[in-house]
Amino acid sequence: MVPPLFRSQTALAATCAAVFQLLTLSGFAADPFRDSIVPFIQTHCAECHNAKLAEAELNLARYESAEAAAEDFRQWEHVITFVQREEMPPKSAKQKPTATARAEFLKTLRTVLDGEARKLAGDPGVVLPRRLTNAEYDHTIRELAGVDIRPTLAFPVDPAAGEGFSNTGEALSMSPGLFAKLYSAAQHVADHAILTTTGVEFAPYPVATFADRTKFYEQAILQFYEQHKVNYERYLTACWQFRYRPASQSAITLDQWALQRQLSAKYLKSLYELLEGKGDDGFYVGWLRRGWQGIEAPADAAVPVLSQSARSVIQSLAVQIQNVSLEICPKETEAIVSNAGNGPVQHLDRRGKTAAERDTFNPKAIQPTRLLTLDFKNLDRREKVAFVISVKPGNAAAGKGLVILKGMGFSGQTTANPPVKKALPLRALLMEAAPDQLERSKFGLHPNGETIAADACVIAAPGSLEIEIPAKAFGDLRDVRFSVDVELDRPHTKSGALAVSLLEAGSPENKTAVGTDTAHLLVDPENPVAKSVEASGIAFCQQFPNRFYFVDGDRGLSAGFHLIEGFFRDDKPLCKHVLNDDENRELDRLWKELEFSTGITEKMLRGFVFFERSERNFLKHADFDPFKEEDPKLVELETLHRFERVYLDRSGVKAPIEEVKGHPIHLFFEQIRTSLAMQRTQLKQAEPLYLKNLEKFAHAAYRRPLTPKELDDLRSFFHEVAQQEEHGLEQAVRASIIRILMSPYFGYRIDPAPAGDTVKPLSDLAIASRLSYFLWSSQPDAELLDLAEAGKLRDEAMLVAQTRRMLKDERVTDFAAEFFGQWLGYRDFAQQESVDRNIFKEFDDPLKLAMLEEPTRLATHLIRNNLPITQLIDSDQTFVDQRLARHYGLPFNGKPGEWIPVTGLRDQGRGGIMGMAVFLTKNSQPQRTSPVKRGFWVVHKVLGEHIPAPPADVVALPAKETDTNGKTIRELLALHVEADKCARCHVRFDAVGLSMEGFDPIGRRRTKDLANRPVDNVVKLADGTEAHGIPEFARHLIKERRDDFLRTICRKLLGYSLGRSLQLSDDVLLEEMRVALDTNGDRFVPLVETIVRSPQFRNQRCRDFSTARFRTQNQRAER
Amino acid sequence: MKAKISRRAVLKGLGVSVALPWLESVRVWGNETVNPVSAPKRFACFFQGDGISPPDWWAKGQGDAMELGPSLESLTPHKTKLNVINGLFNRNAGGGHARCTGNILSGVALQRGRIIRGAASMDQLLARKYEQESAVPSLVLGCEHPVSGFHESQYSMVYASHISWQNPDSPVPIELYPSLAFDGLFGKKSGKLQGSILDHVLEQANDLRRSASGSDQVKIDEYLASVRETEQRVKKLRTEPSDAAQTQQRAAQRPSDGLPSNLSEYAKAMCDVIALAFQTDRTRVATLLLSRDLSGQTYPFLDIKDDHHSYSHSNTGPEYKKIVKFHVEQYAYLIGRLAAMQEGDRTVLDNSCLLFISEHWDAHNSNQVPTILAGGLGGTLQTGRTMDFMPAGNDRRKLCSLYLALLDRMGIELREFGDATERLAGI
Repeated sequence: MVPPLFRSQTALAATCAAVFQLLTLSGFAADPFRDSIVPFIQTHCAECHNAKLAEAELNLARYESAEAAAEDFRQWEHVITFVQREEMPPKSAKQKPTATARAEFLKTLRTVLDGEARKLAGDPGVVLPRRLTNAEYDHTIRELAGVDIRPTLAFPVDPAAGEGFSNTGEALSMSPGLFAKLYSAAQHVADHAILTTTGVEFAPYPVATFADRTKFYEQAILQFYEQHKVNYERYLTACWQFRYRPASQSAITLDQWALQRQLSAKYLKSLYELLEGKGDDGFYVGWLRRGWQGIEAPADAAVPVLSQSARSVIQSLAVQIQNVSLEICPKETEAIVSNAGNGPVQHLDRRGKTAAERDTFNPKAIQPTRLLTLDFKNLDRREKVAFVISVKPGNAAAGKGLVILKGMGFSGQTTANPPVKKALPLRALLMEAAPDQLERSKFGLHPNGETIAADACVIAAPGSLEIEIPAKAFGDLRDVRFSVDVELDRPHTKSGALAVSLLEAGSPENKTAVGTDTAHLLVDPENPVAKSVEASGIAFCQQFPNRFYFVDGDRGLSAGFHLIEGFFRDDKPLCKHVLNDDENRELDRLWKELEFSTGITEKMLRGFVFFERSERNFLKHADFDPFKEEDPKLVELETLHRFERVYLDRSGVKAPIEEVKGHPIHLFFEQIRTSLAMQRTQLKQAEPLYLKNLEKFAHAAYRRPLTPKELDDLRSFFHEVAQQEEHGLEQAVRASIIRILMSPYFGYRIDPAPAGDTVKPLSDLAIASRLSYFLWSSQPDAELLDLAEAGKLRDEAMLVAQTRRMLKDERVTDFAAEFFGQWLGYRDFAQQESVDRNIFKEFDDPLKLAMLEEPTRLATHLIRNNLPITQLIDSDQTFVDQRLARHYGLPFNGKPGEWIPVTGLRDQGRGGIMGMAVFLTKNSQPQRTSPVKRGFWVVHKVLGEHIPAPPADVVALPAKETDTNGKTIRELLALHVEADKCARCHVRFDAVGLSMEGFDPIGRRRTKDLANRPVDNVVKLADGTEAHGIPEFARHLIKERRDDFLRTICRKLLGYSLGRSLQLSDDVLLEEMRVALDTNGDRFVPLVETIVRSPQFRNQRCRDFSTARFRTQNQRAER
Repeated sequence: MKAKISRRAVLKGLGVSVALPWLESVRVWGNETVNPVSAPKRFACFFQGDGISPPDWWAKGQGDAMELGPSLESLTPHKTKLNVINGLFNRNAGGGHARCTGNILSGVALQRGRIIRGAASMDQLLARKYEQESAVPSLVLGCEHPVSGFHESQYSMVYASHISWQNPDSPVPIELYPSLAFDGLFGKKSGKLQGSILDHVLEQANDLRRSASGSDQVKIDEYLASVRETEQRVKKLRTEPSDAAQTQQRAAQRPSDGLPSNLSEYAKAMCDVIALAFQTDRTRVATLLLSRDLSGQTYPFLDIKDDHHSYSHSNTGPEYKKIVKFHVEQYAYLIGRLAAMQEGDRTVLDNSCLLFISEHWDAHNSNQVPTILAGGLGGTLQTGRTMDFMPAGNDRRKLCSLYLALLDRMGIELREFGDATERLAGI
């Protein structure tokens, strides 16, 4: 292994001492560069590295002073490396330095460079204005709009410069082509704006069309309904659990109980009260309470568990509640009547009534007769058809009586082709198949001897009729329906009410303790008992309406014919019985916004006029000529009043308006007028809010307050566009957004240079942006901006506090993706593809994306929790989603889509970034692994070694692992080391790559390679020991190469944070960063703090910056 | 994101050359975009809602000997440039309203209910194909505002108002203002608005530059140059015509703001925008919805009292005949304009294909759709013909087969489109 660089062993103290020595001598003649460096170069280097030959594009002969060398410090860093490794001067050199001369040269050169670094330490350098990178643009838009629009998806990839990052002014150029792209990106963002009654919002998709706007709020309303849906089983279960709650919870209230279960407290309470209420009215409520009381108590009162049988009773009760409510609440009106002759006004009126009556009792449910039916399917698979008709007292307290059964019979279709409809009267069937039952049932006989039809019979309550017929009696009928008219024998039923049920014999419902006795009530409307039935029904329906809200299966909330579109709100029971005040307000708001943003009232009115004229011909009368669909004046109040008058007249309603207040036509027009008036008011109130939003938007987008002139300009532009007919308010909002996003103050990060010739502190606002684009890759949030505007960011303690806050924020993910993604070279993994998917079939897009995300997840975790950054290399933990866990062969306990931390990586031969699939895959060839690429990646990217590009005439390794002419991979790689020109570099990384051979080209663990050879992942270490695979090798790296890794991260991070290339004068800060790591257990946060506190980060060069002036000032400060 | 096309449309408006006739633009700008030997091919679709009037809709004979029914009378001067096609079938239309307009250019079955789903229309496939070569991928114009709502067959009326669909979920928003359509050729919604935005940006950049240091100025200049170049392009289009383009520009006067007061003026204004766009090669694809499905257009200038749809139920009456005739006249007007534009040794019409179509044949029946083509698509499409596919049987008279054949000629070769896998035989 390569020994650590000389520099890494130099302690800061030594540097300082040397610098001090230089400084004290500087007034005298001694000049170490001139006196010892230049002669050494002349003797040993200049033969090749001179102006003429400039071998390796390096002319060392031209440097005459330390300052000159400092300008090109990178060259001189390489000189140190090469001389130190004794690679230079080359073996072939005529004159080679002695070991002492070499050491002396290195020491002096280091001292000279460090001295130069010290003189200009803290120089902020040249930080060019830079446009937002694609990633920064997307993140910033996400913050501004509150939705993740990613408008740069189609942009070209940003180039990188400086320390290899795209966020530098050198790299980020602008062109007319890109400008045009930015313009369209701004337009795309503006297209997401939706105008609400309270301001401008951004939708997650463009909302240019009516359908988009509808979608936005309709989705929200449907979701709201779904969240507040009443599921009887859940509520009944919660009531049961409450009733039998253990003593330890006796103090808990129903409110809390509901809250814990995410149920409506209002509804749970009223239900519980109804269930637990005293008394049995004998009808609907009584039946319900009997059913409720019949649910078995928990076996163990201390641990109340709902038994399976109790659960099924609750389920059955829930179903029956629903059935009863459908029977006794008012009947549904069809939502859409497909009949053009059906006037929209009547239609709306009818639906309005339905909506209003959902939780009421239908008086028509009180009736002495009823038709009952029961279906029997698949007779070919049955032995018999058997059912029971039972009659019980309607009221538990009283009641004998009689029920007459009439018209009993089966109907069905034969299996013949084509099928034939058949009807089989029960009596005839029994006569044939079961005459004994006919006898027993006393057909045609009334107990009192009165005459009834021959095919009728009577059941006395309590009592039942049981019928059983062999299936073969039905011949070729497959499915049959049995039907019977049941009628209360009023004269002989004093109680006035009986309950009839028709059930299949032996059906589970028949066995449960509840439900069957009120399934169908027959009530004598003349009998006083009818009042009690009604009262019971009213109480029942209020708790159990036939629906809580109505959403059309096909059309959602939309309603109307043809092109009359309106939104029909039908959710009164939900609002009344389930939602609390806050929830009601929220639902009202959503409806209001839906109507506002779609401008539905006007749309509906125009659709109405068109339909009534063109489809129903009603408006074809000349009286209606002044009212045209396309007339802009149609929506004016005055027009609508006249229209209503004519419409009433033509509908035969001649009475004056005052007398038709309740008439559906008047209500219709009145509602339109009210809505339109409200829309106008809302718009009027909203317009200034939009402008305020835009001002706030601009403030956030410019990352500073607007100047008074800028504010004026924005306002006048907005008003001007809003007033133009072809544009209007919405265009004004959109155009203003585009205008703000096209401003250089948004798209660029520029800190105009102050007057002077040295350096000055950056403004608080500039610091805020620097900080946020550094740590979040996005704009400052409100807190940071407020602090900056209050001038508090120049305070170092505040700066550090903000830094810590920001590093805990989840937006650090974006920093991690940008910084580590670019440094470690995985950011563009999604866009690139080197895997041969024909061979690696399991490599799919979900896996690819999961691979891409893994290192960012781990890095974010280390940063947000301030853990040692060395865990990137050596760690037993990582983060996986379901797909990646499968790929790694790790158990996954999370939900789909979730990322969870997992440990046990070392046992899997992984651990740290070297074992991550993204790097193993990215650094492979399509059909084989590449120890060369993998090793190079570790040494070059992770450890920061400078490795020159390979010569042009290299021999390529075979494309497949199976194609190696019998040689092992290790043997093939050995060829590199035989050739001297290759060996120089390959010796440094080939072996490293071998440690990762336990993973195939898509990062799957393997014990054999693709040519079926056992995997050889042993690395011989410098100390003579061996490392097997990634975990051992990673541990070795952290022990022996820790310093190289940390220095690399310092250099990369500083370059990223400043957005420029590093210069020699940054060395002092780099050393401080290194110390910060050492003294803080390699933790990341102190590292960032060191940067943020540094003069480089907080200052800027003045307009007429002079290096000489700055050096003098620095030296003065030093003294 | 779904709006890619319209976004790109904008871009193109910003980035590409000025509005000069096609050949001239080749001379001025070099042949970087078009090959001078083959002029670009264009496609336009005229749509009339609610069907035609069958007794008056016929054509027989070929070439000069072609005879045209009363509805098509206005096409007489262009007989040799026509293909009057009878009997094409849009299988998935299914008659009635809503279902058959949203798929007239895509041929797929539309989804019922509140989720809107169809397919990208053939004009938008062409728009995508040519977006690199033309400033604006397509013009999607209409003379009647779109409606919403649901037909009681549970199909959204969004389908009834849009024939151009950028993707299965979204129609292309229709431009109703001729002035904005005109501006759209040279920017997006409004060149005027855009000009004002660019002015402002330029002003800010100039302010910034004044306070910048030398090294900063380099970067700001880069930005300034980009804004200026963009702005100059936009401005050039708005100032007085240059000598070279004088004739052209006079003809291309910007329509006045607002909506024209009657359909006759309205349709002409839209045709003029299309003519200008084709002539200057700003776009190669256009659709114009003269009237929607279930149309509420009125025709006081034809002495017709009620609205379009009212008459369509009894479409053999004199009123509806007048309405159909009027629609065909607008089509003839655009044909005439393009026929008068010389382009090499042909005319712009010769290099185009203008389709006239309606979703219904008679009173809400879409068992066949009326179809006329005008123009020879750069010599690839024979003209001067009448054809009847009715006897060929349902599988051999598919509207989508015609589209496949047209798309072939415009450089998009598809294995299938809509309900068709075969090209229309004999076209």
